[in-house]
Amino acid sequence: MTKTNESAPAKQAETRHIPGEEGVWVFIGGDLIIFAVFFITYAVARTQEPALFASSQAELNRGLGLANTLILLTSSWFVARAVAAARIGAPAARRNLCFAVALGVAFAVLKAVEYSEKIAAGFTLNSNNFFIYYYMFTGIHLLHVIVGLGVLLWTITRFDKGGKLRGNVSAVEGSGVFWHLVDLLWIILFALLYLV
Amino acid sequence: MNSMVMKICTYAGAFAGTLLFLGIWPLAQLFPPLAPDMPSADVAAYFAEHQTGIISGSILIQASSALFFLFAAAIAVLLKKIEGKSSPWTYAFMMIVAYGFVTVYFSGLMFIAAAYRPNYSPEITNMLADLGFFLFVGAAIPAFVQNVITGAAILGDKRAQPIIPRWVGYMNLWTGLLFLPGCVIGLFKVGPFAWNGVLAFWVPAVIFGIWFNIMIWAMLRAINRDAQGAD
Repeated sequence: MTKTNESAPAKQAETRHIPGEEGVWVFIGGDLIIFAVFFITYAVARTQEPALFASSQAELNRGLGLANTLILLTSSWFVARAVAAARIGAPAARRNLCFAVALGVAFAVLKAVEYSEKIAAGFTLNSNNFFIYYYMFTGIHLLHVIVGLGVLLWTITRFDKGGKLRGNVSAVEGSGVFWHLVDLLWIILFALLYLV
Repeated sequence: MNSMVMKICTYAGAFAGTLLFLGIWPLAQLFPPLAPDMPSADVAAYFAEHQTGIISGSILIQASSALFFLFAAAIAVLLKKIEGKSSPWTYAFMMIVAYGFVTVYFSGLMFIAAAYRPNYSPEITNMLADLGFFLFVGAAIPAFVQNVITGAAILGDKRAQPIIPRWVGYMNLWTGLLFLPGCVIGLFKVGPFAWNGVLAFWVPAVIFGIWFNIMIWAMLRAINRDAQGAD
């Protein structure tokens, strides 16, 4: 990563088929490490209070969780299509990104509905150890969703009105990779907090 | 760019980091922080028992806070060079650093005040200690913005050979993100997000160490390349 050869970074990425620029992967890899620490912390806490975690878990709305999983998976699919279209210069890229953003917003709205439902039922941040994890992990993930939406919106501005990409395709790939990360983390969170 | 002065400033950061660590850990023995749910009487007893260590360690913490500004100045010079004439990221960085590292000074001050008079009633000692830990771990709030800004400035470098490698820019964004759990410590007395918890304390502490060393490496590299006449 720290080689000081003269070729431009964008060119390098293209010839070696790493989606996005290499630096993005520093962020992605780092984030995965940290979420791994999150998940291990949770798993350890769970073994200490298995009954409490099980009964609290039963209070979560699995339907909403599943709906959000499907929403994010679909939006990831749109992002993948957008990247494929951008690579061949097809105008569909911009439209697909807009669909992905719309679904991302839907995810955030559903999450807000879910939170208010839980708060109305009397489950708040410090109700018990399970809910600390539930609110904090899903909250940090929601922050990722919001950052990801910002990144996708920025990527949309890289296209002109006719859907033609200005500049390098690695910007689209990079934001796509981040959005897939957001999706991946949610799938693990959903399994861990709602199902297992 | 005067490479000699720039190097002094960069190494001052390494020196400051060492002082901070020596102060909070072997001297004051407040690393990791005392448990937030420790009873006031126990906190007061701890501060009375470790009075000399806590006060001298806190003096090192305060000294490190001041020395960090030299390090921040060297970063600011590099950010300014990246940005050129119009440099909003650099100015924002300088202002945030100006209060971000002051929290470190005040955390040392609170620890000194808590240990200064062992005849205080335990609640007062406890409150001062609380403030010390809030300032120490809560530095995550300015640190978060500071890192995001540093990352944004590095990634805004349009040169074919960036002054600071782009991956260091992404690493700054990542570091900023990891400081976030440190922002919520006021909400918890136990668990991973309390001020002695895995996610609010240990992860940011380790990441700060890694970030610090990578920044020193990237800065020295940029200073040396500048001295060799690269753009």
